[in-house]
Amino acid sequence: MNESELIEEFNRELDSVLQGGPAAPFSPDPGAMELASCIARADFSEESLIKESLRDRLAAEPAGFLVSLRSLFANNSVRAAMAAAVLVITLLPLARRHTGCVPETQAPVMAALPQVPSPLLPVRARVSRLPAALAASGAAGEELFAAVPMGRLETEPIKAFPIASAGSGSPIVLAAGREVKLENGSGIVLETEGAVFTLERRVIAPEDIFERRVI
Amino acid sequence: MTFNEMYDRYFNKVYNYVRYHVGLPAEADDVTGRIFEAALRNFGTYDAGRGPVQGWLFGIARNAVIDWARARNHRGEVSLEDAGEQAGTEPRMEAILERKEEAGLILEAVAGLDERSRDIIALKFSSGMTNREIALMTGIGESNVSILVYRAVKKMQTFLADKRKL
Repeated sequence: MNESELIEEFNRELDSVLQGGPAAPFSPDPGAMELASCIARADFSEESLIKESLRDRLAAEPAGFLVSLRSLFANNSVRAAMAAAVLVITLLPLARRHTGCVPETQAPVMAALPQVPSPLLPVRARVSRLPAALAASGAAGEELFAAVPMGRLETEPIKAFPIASAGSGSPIVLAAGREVKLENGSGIVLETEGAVFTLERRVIAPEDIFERRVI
Repeated sequence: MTFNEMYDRYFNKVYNYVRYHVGLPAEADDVTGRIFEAALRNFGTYDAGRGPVQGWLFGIARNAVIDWARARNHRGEVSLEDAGEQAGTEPRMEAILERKEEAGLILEAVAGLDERSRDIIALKFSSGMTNREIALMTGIGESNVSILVYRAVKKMQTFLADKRKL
């Protein structure tokens, strides 16, 4: 084996040792390979007195913060998560506005029948409970809740009203209004930027809403 | 990879590389600190597509060691070999050598090499880079790196054999 082959073989075995493998027993120069293994094992880093303090110092530097931020954004999954979060934050107000657009004919009926488990019932079943005259006229909600200008209110921008607790964990919206006396009872006048309307408070009979049937 | 991950993964390797060149542990700490400060400043310029991070980091380390050697020569300070001898007189170093006589002998043997062989040995055994990567970094041919590694190890072997005879 000439020197060139010896050197090639030595370096091949050395690479194996440096990658954590054992030194091959057939090494053409066992003494040199033994020394190379010793050098590969040697670690002087225990002498260092700055390993921890240097890390802390570098992390505290402004450049360290910027580098951490930059390397964080270099990660593709973090970038995708941030993009998704920004998208959600951007679209959230739109989504909230959309859910606020309740169909005009449903909202008054739901408000007037709080004890009826109506959400699971089809719309036709709820309408059929109205007096026959009202149902036939096709103006089911309009006559009962004529004071609430739903059409105009829906065109108004959604506002953030303060939310309070109505007890037992139920949230209610607080809105300022002016109480007035009406012919058949009382009412509260609410003013918005686009409309002024009165919520009437009066006694109604079940027949005003329900059709009574005798079985 | 974040800077902190790189720091934790490569601090010991960089320190060992520096230690092969710099005689005193305190000075090795100083040079290692400068290396990681420079790495932090330039971490944004590292491009993973251009090569593994250890090549980039050890490029910085190599420049820092060269700067340190130039400054030392300019100040007319002791040579590496002499510094190696002096290191043994430092109380802390003595304690380490008692526990790690082998490591101390290795440092002595490395200090006895010429500057280029010492650099190749330090890179080969500290950085985890291949002969090809070392060749690219140092500008020496790959086969010459292999020859330098083998001959340096043989020279150290002879040095240590002579030391044992004494």
